[in-house]
Amino acid sequence: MMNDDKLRSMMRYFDENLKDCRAQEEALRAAQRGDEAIFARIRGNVFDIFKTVLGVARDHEQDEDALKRFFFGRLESIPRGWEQALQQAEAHADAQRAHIEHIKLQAVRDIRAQAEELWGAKA
Amino acid sequence: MTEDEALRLFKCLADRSRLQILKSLAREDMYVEQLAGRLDLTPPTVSFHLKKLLESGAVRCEKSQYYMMYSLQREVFDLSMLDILTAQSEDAEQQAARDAAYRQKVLDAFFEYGKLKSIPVQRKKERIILEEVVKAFEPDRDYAEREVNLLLADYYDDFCTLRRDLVAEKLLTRDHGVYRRALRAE
Repeated sequence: MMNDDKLRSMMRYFDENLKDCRAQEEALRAAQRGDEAIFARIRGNVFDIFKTVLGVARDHEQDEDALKRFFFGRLESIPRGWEQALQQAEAHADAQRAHIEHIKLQAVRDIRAQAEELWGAKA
Repeated sequence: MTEDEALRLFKCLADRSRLQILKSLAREDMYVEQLAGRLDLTPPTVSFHLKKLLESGAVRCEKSQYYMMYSLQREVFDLSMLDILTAQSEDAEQQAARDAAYRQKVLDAFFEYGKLKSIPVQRKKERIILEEVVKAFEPDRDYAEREVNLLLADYYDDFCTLRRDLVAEKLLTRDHGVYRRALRAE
């Protein structure tokens, strides 16, 4: 059986973070902090990606365990490329690229913490 | 400072956080954590901005005990805007070289042993030819029409056309039958 409250709560978490990121992006851009505005957008994009993933899981999985497996599975697989990109950036002393990968990975850690709080440790 | 360096610097400065970092460094040399604390930014964000500032030549860094100390590249900021605007750009130099080569090609094509073979039909080429011919006239000196004709006849048999074209191109001025080399005809 699907626990709709948890699902709704997680969707609300994504919506709130997306809203925060967009507000931050606008405020930073208005303050002539262009690069930091881009960082806020990148963080927002990560929330958007995983909101979409959760939406797909909700539409295709019948029970909560399958949904958790799908969602936590993507929380592992999607950032793998970002971790590799971070390693490459650090190996080439590319601080700018490394910072962007850090932002993406931090957003993933935040999402995972929230998901684990709701559903317990990953399936 | 080259044009590319100036572009890189101005682009980098067009960010409030980077400007605030520079303001802090103008007061004293600082390391990342100090700047982060003062400007209420995260250390990674400060590092990101410092990297850009380093690349643009606005700051320098050196290891000091356990930290990388960042300081303002003062000689860059000692330059006046006018210094930057009047610096010869690489693009301008390249364009000037291309213009000179083209000019020489036209002169070689239309002059033979100092004598004009024909007057070019193309206006741009004709202008180059006329600018060369007008060098025969001394600046700040009046010439009677006969003197003008004699000088021009050394270049081209149809000296009347040449004379009229020089006046039309404003390389020679004519006032009551007196001719002068125009001031801008360098």
